[in-house]
Amino acid sequence: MADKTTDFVPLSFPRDSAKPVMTLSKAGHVFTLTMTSPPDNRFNPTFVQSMNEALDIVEDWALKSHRGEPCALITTSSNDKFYSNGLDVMYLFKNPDTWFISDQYLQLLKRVLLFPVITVASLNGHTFAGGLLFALCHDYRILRADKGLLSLNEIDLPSSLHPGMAWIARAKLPPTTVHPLIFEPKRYGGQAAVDAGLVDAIAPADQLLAVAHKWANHGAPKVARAGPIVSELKLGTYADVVEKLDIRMEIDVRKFMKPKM
Amino acid sequence: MAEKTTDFAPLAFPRDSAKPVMTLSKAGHVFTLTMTSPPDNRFNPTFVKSMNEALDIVEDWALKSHRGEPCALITTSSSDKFYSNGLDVMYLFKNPDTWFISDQYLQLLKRVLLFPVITVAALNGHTFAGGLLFALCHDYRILRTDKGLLSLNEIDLPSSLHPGMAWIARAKLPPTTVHPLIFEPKRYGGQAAVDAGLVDAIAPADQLLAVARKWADQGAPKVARAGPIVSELKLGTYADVVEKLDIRMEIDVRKFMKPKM
Repeated sequence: MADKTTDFVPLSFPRDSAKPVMTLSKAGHVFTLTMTSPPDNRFNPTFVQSMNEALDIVEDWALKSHRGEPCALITTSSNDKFYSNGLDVMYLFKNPDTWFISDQYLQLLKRVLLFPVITVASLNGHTFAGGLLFALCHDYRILRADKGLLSLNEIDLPSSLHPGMAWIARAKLPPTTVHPLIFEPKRYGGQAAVDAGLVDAIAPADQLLAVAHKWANHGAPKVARAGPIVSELKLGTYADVVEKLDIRMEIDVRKFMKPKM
Repeated sequence: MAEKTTDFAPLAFPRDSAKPVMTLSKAGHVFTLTMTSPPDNRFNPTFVKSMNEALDIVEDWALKSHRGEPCALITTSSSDKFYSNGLDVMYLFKNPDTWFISDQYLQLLKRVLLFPVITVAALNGHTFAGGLLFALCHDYRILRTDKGLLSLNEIDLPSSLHPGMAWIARAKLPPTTVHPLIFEPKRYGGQAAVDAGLVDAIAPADQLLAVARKWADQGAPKVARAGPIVSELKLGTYADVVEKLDIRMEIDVRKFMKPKM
C-alpha cells in the first residue's frame, strides 16, 4: 500500500493561534488528532470549535476529496498525564454559557459517535467525566497499560448527567460496569478496564500509538467500501443515544457544582 | 466516625400492629429494613404501604432532617429461608385488586430504583419472581454463599411480565443472563449469581449482614455530598425502566395463573 506521507501538511487549531489546542496530522491512511490544551484538554467553546474544524477536514477527505480510499481517525493527547478531564467547568462558572453543554459539547459527542470513519481513542493518560464520554463515542479505545485511569466522577462533583451522557454509558457498556462507573464511582485502569468493557486493549506507553494505528488500519477500509453507510450503521446501532443527545437542556453548573473540584 | 447508635429507635410496620410485616432499625449511618412477613415476604397492599412508610422515614432523614450526613439502606429478611417470593398471588386471587400491580407494586419498585440513598439488598434466602425484581432495583445485592436461589419463574406460573418488570432485567443484567433467567427459567446461586451479574458479592450466612454493611458504608457518603443528585443520576441512568414502570395496566392474575404455585 503506497504510503502517501506527504499529501497532508499538519495543521493546528484554532488556525493561526499562538496557543493551539489541538493538531491534526496524517500518516498513510490514518489521521491523528492530538489534543494540546494544557493542563488536561478540557472542552470549552474554543476547544469544541477547533475539534469541529479538524473533523470537517477528515470528513471531507474521506467522503469527498478522497472518496473510495481507506481512512481512519485516531485521537490522543500530547500530555503525558491526561487524555481529557472533560468539561471546562471553570469556563462554565465564569460565563453564563448555559447552552454550551447541550448545543456544543453534546452535539460534538454525537458527531464523534456517528463519525463516517472508524475512530480510535488512544488513551495515554487519565480520562475522566466528559473526557471519558468523549472517548466512549469512539469505535475503539486503547489504554496505556501502566498509567491512566477511567472514571465517571460526576456523583462526587456533584453533578447530574444529561440524559444523553448517561445513555452513552448504557449503550456501550455492560450493565455490570454502568452502575459502579456512575455510582461508586469506580476507577478503572489497565486490564480491569478491558475486563469491564471500557477499552478494547491495553498497551505499554511506548507502543500505545502503534497499537492504536493497528486498530485504525484495520478499520480504515470500511469507509472506502461503504462510504456514507458507515455513519448510517452507527446511527442505526446507537439511535437511542442520538435521540437522548439531541435533548436540548439549559444547564447552569453553578446551580449544583461546588467550585473546587 | 462517631456512631450514633441511639438516635433512632427501631420501628415496626404497620405501626401499632400486632403482626408487623417489617421493621426499620439504624446503626451508625445505615438503616436496615427487615421484612418479617411469614412465610416468604409477599407483596400485598399492607406490605407495600408498610414499606412506603419505612422508606418515607429514611428519605426524610437523608434529604431533610439530616441533610448533608451520610446515609444508606440495607433490606433483608428475618426468615432464614426466603428473602422474598414476590407478589402475594393468593391475595390477588381472592380480591379483584386489578390495579395493585400497576399502581402499588410497580410504583414501589420505581421508588426503590430511584431511591435517594445507596441501597443494598442482603439476600439471605430464596429470591424469586417479584422478589428478585425488587432486589434488582437496589444498587447492590449480596447473596448468601451456601443457600438461596435467584429466579424469575413467571414462565412456569404461568404469568406474563409487565413491561416495566422485564425492563428492570434488561437494564440491569447482561443480555446473556436475561434470556435464561426469564425463559429456562434458570436458577442462580452462589458464585454463578455473581458471574451472571445478578449479585455483586456472596458471603457466608454469618457474615452476610456485615458484608452488606460494608457496601452500605461505602455508598453512604454519596447522599451527604450530592443530596438529591443521587436520585437524579439514577433517573438519568435508568430512564427507560422508569418509563416502562409507569405504564398503567389493569392486571387480573386469575386470567392466566393457575391457583397452585
